[in-house]
Amino acid sequence: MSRRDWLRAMRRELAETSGRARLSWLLGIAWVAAVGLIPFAVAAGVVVGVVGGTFGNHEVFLEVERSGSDSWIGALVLTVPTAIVGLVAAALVVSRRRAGLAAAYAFAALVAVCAVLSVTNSPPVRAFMDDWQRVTTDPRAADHAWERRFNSAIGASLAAVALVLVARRQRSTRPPA
Amino acid sequence: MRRNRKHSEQTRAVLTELATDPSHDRYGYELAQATGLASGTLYPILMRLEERGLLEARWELSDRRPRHVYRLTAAGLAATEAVSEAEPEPPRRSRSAAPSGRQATA
Repeated sequence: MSRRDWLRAMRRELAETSGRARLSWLLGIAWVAAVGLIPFAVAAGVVVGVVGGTFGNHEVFLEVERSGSDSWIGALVLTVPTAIVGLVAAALVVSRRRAGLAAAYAFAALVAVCAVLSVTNSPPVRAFMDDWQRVTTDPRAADHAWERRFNSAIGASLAAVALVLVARRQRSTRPPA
Repeated sequence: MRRNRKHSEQTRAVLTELATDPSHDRYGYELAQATGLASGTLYPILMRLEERGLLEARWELSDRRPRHVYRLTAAGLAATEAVSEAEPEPPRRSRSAAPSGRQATA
């Protein structure tokens, strides 16, 4: 039975209520509706974060690539699989597939690796960001490089944790196979 | 492997109430009244019980206004009996002492 059916069932009971009980019942409907939207909100956050954080930074990759350096390849190899796994995990969680939890854990593991490499400015992130600071026309390149590394690490980590929590909750409510 | 979780007090209250007459269909509002649970707590529990195969939920179409009715499945009845043996029956709450709309863990 879909959540929409359950909400319809709750609305049908409204006729039985009156006064404060009616208000309480309406709040309950709103709560159940809001809880049902959480997986979609988290998945949307992951998609927006992945698209915005990874594919939205394409100009950084292009600037480094145009300079003749190949350090962008290492950064791309690090980020693109993580982004793809994130999108797949978000889709699996929203569709309540059994593989959603495993995909969410895989996404979290990849994000953890990326975040550590990014925050500690380790290879291949270091070479990539150093090359970008050398070739970019951005006058505050050093600050922006640090912001990109730190913000993307924190944002992706939060998104991955949220996705794992949602997937775990779905798993706990699913009947045994 | 699936963990065998203990039922929350609210879930036990719902199971116990449904088990009082397992052959009788119950309405959501009736269950809320009997258990003292707010709808925001009751319905997530009903959803989880239905997902786990412990509860049968269907539309009652005989009435002018279709309503959802609930009853325990055989698995639900067995689970309730197991809970009753393992854990003491939860205290019944009056409507005024109803818990908030916070979600309970099934």
